[in-house]
Amino acid sequence: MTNDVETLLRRTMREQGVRVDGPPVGGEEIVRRGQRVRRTRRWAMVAGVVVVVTGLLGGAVGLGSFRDHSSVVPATGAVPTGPPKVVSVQKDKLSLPGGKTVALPRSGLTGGAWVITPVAGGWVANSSVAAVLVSPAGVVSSLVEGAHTANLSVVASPDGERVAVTQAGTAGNLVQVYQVRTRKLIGTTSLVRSESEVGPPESHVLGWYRDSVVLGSVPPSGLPQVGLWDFAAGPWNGKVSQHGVGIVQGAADGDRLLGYTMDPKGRVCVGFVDPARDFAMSGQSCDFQVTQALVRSFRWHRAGSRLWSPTC
Amino acid sequence: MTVDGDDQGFVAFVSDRSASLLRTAYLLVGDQSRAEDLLQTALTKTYLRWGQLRDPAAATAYVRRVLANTATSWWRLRSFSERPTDRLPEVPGADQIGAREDQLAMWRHLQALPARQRTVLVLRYYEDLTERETAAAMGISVGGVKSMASRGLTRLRALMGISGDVMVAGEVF
Repeated sequence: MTNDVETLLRRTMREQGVRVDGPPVGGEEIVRRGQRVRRTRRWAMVAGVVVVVTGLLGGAVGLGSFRDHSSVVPATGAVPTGPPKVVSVQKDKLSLPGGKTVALPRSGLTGGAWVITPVAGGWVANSSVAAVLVSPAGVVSSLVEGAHTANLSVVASPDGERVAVTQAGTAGNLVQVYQVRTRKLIGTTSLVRSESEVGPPESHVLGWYRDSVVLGSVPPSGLPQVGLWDFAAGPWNGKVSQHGVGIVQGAADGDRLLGYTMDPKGRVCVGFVDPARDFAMSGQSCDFQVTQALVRSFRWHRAGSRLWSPTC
Repeated sequence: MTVDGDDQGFVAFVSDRSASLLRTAYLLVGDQSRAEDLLQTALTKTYLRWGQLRDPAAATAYVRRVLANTATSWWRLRSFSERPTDRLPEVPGADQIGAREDQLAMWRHLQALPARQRTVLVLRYYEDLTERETAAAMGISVGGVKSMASRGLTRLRALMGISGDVMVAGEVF
């Protein structure tokens, strides 16, 4: 009986197998798919590097603004000595430069670690579920707290007068812009998830350009995209750059930003992007891996310490 | 798209092996369009590893392994992806040319087996892999292959008995 079952099974599978037509797809198509996957993986790797670099730069800029009023400092440098002049957070206690300690709202404690962003006239402290304004005198006032808050992140404008706040929701992200000094909401857009590859399913704030917010988007498939949101004109229109720029960070001289893209050979390129010209890139270099960016001098170090300085 | 020397080797491999691999994929998932998706996924993963494979035999073994594992993971996910329908999908009719009642029943019961049992049976009795090769392809032990093959055959035997088919040696074929 056992052998009969095995024999019938073999015969059945053979006869079913021959009903299938093939080949289903050409090797060239598979190669194209594979190359797309490689590019996407490289983008993900670059995005990870950018997140780390942005964090380091943000911390360095924050430290520098308190140390010597310089707007930008290198990500590396001498470790400051003497009494601490920076804000710090331990659990729910925020220590101000003058030594004063203020308690942050306990409602934010469930949102993980607090992150401090220097703004005009104080700081914004945010966890993933709440954001508060803290004045140098230690006055704490709520900025964002409510049902929509999750995975909250804050990006301040270069002058520190406004902050763009990204919040995650079940249907997509919500981005709001606040005037810091008045805590007034001056812009809001809902980035609803979409099946479209050009839609803004996972958009979030990358940075600022003049009076607009730079939004980054990771669609369900394909490469990351960037777009510009003029919040004074209403909700974002969803338009993304056609120049294939995937990630934007940092400010450069000449009213430009730093951007990352990928060339047709799949190499990652860095260069200047001009948001006023749909993020058109110039001065790019593609023959190295980005490991660190120094915003003020616009230099990138290659792994192995070769230095590249684009001509401006 | 530029196709370099390595890519040309891969394209030749796909051209040579894809028809056979598609049949294996079909037996694993029981549906041609899903089998094509499965094979494309497996070949794409193979392309990403092509630099380390090169040898067609190693590449074929790798594709088989990806097919087996991906089919199993799809089967686990099917409760999330399946949608109710008010129309039953088409099933092979009993009057198809060359098809016998017992083979149609066997095919239905094979598709109803758990994915890993079905995968073991496809690799052992269609691909004619040894127990060791099957174990390597599925990333499990030889004992696991024996156990799943035994359970799968026992289940098929029981199901065929339930369906009323009586098989007598020498009478089936």
